[in-house]
Amino acid sequence: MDEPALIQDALEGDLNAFNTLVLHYQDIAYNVAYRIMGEPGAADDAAQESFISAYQKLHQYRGGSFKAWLLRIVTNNCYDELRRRQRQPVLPLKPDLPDGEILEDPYWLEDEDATPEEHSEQAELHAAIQKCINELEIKFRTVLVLVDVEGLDYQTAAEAAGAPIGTVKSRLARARERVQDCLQGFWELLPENFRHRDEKMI
Amino acid sequence: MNHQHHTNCQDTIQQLNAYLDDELDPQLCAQLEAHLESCTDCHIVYNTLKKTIQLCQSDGEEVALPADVRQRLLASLGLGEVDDTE
Ligand SMILES: [Zn+2]
Repeated sequence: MDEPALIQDALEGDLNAFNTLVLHYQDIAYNVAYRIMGEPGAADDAAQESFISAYQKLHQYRGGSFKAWLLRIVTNNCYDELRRRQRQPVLPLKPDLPDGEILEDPYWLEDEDATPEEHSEQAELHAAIQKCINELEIKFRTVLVLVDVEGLDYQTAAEAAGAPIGTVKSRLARARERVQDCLQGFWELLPENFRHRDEKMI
Repeated sequence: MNHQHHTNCQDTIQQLNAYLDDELDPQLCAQLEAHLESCTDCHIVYNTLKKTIQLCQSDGEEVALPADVRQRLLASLGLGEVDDTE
């Protein structure tokens, strides 16, 4: 894909060129929206709105990474949508358990749509990670999603998050710290070498 | 000595994220690696952070854009269905 040429063509009104760009980035845009919003329905809307605004704002694109520019629109749309929803209080997802206590039949992990086979340990661990990421404040969640989940480098993540690199670094460190703490609440699901830290600390 | 050691640990822990993300200056990498080899405490922090990052990365299985959303998207842009293969 010759991205600069496509962008140039799109700017000159070539819809096919813009279409190709959309098709190329639709999955990452949707994935970022999905992880930031935490649910598919909201991600659908955010992804769709993002491409429409990208089309409308294309003339504002000033070179650089098109992916970062597009993801910036996605994260902004997600922020707007989450702000709108903030009026509705959300129940805390993380149970307050005494250290080391094992929760039988963790109700907060249950996914109503999951089939019995999906209730494997692996699926539970994934659900736990997802919940821990979802618990993060949006600015921390965004950088963690961009860098860890989507594999962006710091520079691209900074552009996509609309924040300086230094801010991205500190948010990423905080986000990972919080996920780490949160995962300690899911003790029995973690691979053995991950539990090592607490054993040493006792 | 103690103070020096303490400073090294703090520096190390501050640089661990960038190190694990391949975003740390190569010169600092060598210093950090030397410290990690000699400091058990920092090595434990390093291992735990590495594992945390791996767990977060494992959450990154691609979710494909649902077909109906894609259709709505293309329709709303006034674009027809086009070939998705590169
Ligand atoms: Zn140390």
